[in-house]
Order: sequence, then C-alpha cells, then structure tokens
Amino acid sequence: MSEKTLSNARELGEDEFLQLLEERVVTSLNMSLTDFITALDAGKLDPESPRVADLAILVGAPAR
Amino acid sequence: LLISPFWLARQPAKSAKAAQQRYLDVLQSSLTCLSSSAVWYAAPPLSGRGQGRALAVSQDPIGVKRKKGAAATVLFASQRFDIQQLDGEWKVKTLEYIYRVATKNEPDGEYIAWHWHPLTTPDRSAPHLHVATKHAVLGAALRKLHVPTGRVSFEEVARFLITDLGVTAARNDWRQVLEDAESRFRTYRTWA
Repeated sequence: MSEKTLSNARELGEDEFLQLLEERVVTSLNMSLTDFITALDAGKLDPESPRVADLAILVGAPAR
Repeated sequence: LLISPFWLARQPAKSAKAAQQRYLDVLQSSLTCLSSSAVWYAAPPLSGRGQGRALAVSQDPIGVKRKKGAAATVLFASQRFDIQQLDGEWKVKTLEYIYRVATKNEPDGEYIAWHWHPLTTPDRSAPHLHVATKHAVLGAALRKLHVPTGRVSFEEVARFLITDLGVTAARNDWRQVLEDAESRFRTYRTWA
C-alpha cells in the first residue's frame, strides 16, 4: 500500500489538471471551469463559501 | 523507505523537481494515515494565473472511516505552493491551504475548516478557523467568524481527525509517520 501510494504522488500534466478542475467545478458548482474563473475574477462568487474556496485555491488568483 | 521515507536524513534538493517530489512524498506519507487510496497531485502553473502551483488530492473529498454509528466524514484538502532556491537548495514554500471537514451527506457543508488563502483573499491574509455552529452565548454564527490560528499543517489535521473525531487510521504506525513528517515541516518551514 505505502509503496504504491508513495510512488503515485506526482505532478499532473496541464491537460490532466484542467480536466480534474473542470470535473470538480461542473460536479460541485454546475458551471464550466471557464465560467467559474470568469465569475471568480469578477468577484461574483463568495470566496469564503466552502466549495468556491476549495476550488479557488486550486485555480489560483489571476496574474497581476 | 517504503514505510516512512523520513527516517532517513533529509538531503538537499538539487532541482525544483526534486524538491517538489520530496514535498509530495512527505505529504503522501501523511495522507496514507487517513486513506490507503488517495494520492496527492501537484499541478503545473496555469497560464494567466498568478503565483504558485496547486496541490490537489485525487479523491475529492477524501473518505475517512469512523466508528460505527458516527456520521460518515469526509476531508477536503488543497494547497498552493511555490518552489524556490533558498540557502543553497531547492525548497517548497507553502503559499495557501484549505483543510475542510464535512459529512458525506453534506459534502458542501463546513463543520471545521482551517483556512489560509492570502493570495485569493488578500484582505484576509492570516490563517484562521471556521466552525459551523451557532454559539448561543456569543449570539454569533461561528461559520462567519475567522477564528485566528497559527499556521496549521496537514499532519495536525490528520492527527485531529484520528484522535478527536475518531477517524480510523489507515495504518498502524500513523503516530510515527505524522510525527516524522511534522518534524520536517517544523524544521524547514519558512514561517510559523
């Protein structure tokens, strides 16, 4: 168990990560990742609501 | 090495990739105390987004086992981190974290959550705790409060789940594994 899980902790490719994000956003907020990022950056989502906060930290703040 | 790689002396990471994998391995070891199947994933930087990289768990949420009769409990865990060259070696620097405990029936609830997200909410830059209940004497919904905390490690959350919430540890040597990982965290962190 330990051998397998330790070796599986790894970096995702960009496509893999975007797919993971898309699935989580669609499943939990019923919107697309693009719509989520747009709404988040526009301040239209409560960054302190549990699910938004979870996903916002994964997406990251916009580049300044 | 396969049980707990941290009993070996820590070697300086000679590359950003090596530092990231070392960090992942430490966190993964701690995660195996709660789940035998969940895995940490590091994400590449996303174009157009700001500082750092995301760290996500393969299971969203992580299901944990509790004693019979207790509410089925889940844990959401995520971080952002950066990789920097400090003191002649490559090191991971944690930038943000969220560890959220909820129930399987209400995964979007937030019973206890440790937050530190200075990048996504610059006006709320300090680590804090949310507890979802109403306090009769204070007359306040504690969910809305940001109870100040020090910096909280994933290992502290894992230990809390096991010792205080009665989560069944996924490995017998969880105390040692968490202690080893936390010892590293405290030794090499850049701020407390």
